Order: sequence, then C-alpha cells, then structure tokens
Amino acid sequence: MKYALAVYGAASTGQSSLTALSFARALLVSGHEVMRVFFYQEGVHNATSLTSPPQDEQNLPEQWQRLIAEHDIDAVVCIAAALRRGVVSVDEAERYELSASNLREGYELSGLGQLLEAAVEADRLVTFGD
Amino acid sequence: MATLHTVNKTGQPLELCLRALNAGDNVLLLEEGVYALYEASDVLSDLLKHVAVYVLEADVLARGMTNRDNLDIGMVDYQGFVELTEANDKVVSWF
Amino acid sequence: MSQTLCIISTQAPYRGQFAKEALDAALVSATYDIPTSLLLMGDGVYQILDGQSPEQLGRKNLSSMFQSLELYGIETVYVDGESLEERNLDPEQLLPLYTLLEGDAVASFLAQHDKVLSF
Repeated sequence: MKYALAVYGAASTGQSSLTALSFARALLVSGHEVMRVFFYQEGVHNATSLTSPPQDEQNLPEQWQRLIAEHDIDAVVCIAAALRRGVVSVDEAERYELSASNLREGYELSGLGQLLEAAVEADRLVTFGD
Repeated sequence: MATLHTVNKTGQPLELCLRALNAGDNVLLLEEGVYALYEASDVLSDLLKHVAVYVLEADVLARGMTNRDNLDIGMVDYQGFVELTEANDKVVSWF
Repeated sequence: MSQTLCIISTQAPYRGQFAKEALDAALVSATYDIPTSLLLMGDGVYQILDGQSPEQLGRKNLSSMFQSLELYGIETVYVDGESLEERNLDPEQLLPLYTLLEGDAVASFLAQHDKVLSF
C-alpha cells in the first residue's frame, strides 16, 4: 500500500519524530511504499543539517536523512513552517538575504498542497504529532 | 470502515479518542499514552467491550511498565503497528 | 469522486502555531478542491471564542481566518458539544459559523470521512 506520513514533532519536543521514523522503517520492511513524508510544524526541525548531539545520543535528523536517501523517499518540508522556524535552503537564504542555509540534502521545501495531495492520494495517511 | 486510533498521551488525547470510537475500531496506545495502562485501567476495561486495544512494546518497555494481566490488551512492535494500519481503513491520531 | 478529508484541531488558539497552521491546512485543502471538514475538539473550541484581540501578543487574529473559510468553500466549522460543556462555554460566546456535534455524533461524523488529519 501507499503511505503518506505527516511529521509534526522535532527530536527535542517529544517522541513523535522517533515514532514516525521507526514506523517508516517498519513500513519499508513490510514492502509498503512511503510515497511522501511531509514535515510540518515543529517537524521541520528534522530537516536541519546543523544538529550535533553528543556522541552517545542519536541524531534523528541524520537518521531521517539516511532512510530518505536509501529508499529515495519524497521528503517535503513545508516552506512557510520552515522559514518561520529558521530551516532554509540555499535558494531561500539568498531570496531573504539570510546569513546561512541549513536544509539537509534530499529534502525539498514546498507548499502545504503537497501534504493535502498526498493525504488523498495515499491509501493511508498517518499523522505523528507531539 | 474501521479506524485505528493512536493515542500518545493520557488526558485530553485519550478523552477525545474515547468519544470518537465506533464499535470495531482499534486503539493503539503509544508514547506517553501507554501510562493509560496504570492511570486509566478502568476506562480501558470498559473500552475493551467495544474495541480492541493495543500498546506499543518499545514505549511500554522504555517506561518500566508492564502490560495488565487482567486486561486483554495486545502488545505490538512497530511491525504490529504497521499491520494495524493495514487492517483498518484509516488512522486517526490523538496527541 | 475525490476523497473526503476531516481536519481535527485540538489546541488552544495562541499556543505556538498549532491552531494557525491547522487552519492553513484547511484553507489549502479547500483550494485543492478536496471536500474538507474542520472539526474543533478539546481546547480547539477556544479558537472560535468571539472577541479575541491578540494585538498585544503581536499575533494575527484567528477570527478573521475563520471568517474567510466560507470564501474557500468551507461553509461551516464542526464543534464537539461535549468540549464546550466541559469548558462552560455557551454557544452565544462563539463566532456564529459553526455546527454543533452532540453525543455520539462525533464518532459517526469521523466515520464518514476517508482521511483524517489531526492537529
């Protein structure tokens, strides 16, 4: 089946980002298709490349990125939510004349329409919030 | 048209879930929602008359909890979570 | 026939961006011609309390967003009656743009939708 996942939590705000990641891995093991992961609200923080937790702690944004790259998952970060929270691509950093960009490779900044489109196209929509 | 409801906290998310259930639905307690095993075991035993209730194993183990022997609550891993989403027509998340 | 979507909003209006971003999702959903219902439950019912003046918080007034829903084809907002009672709210204290769901109505209402997106 085709699954769309909506991720609203950051590693630091609750457990939902980790739950979503574990669920996504289990979906792929079961042979399902993850048609899109949409990062919204605090979930946009999963797409920053600037997390650097201590060695003995897990780096969730890095783990997400690895899964997304390995399985070529369509990973979309809500552009309005991301700009509001300081997660920006090179293009957006230029457009808004910001001092740096931090969006990880493999993610696309795009509009909320990508979430709604996936919601109705997928066989299952699963929301992960804190 | 059965629905899987995931509940990630006791309090408001659990209360709202309770009034959104139809007979034959499934409930999965996860994250802080697994504390319902202790805090809301009366509610759960009522609930079990109408719907099947599951807890996510990783979250139960992480918190030093155990399933209630006197309640018929299924323990599932992430693979089991996936199977619950397959078996139901849609998923509603309460958080 | 497009799938129907129910958006459930359960958080108080000025707690972070939860309520605002849920409303954004409802508006975008409607512009994608997805038959969309917006359901307020729990603290989410405070979002349509009349007379909000969040200017001192430097925040946008959510009421005007709710009032614009109709222009996008969302003609009513569904409200869980039990959530109103628990909060001692009278229907007259709310913006007059909602439909009350009482008793078991919430469960059957959700069952009518193909997909549910929670906030």
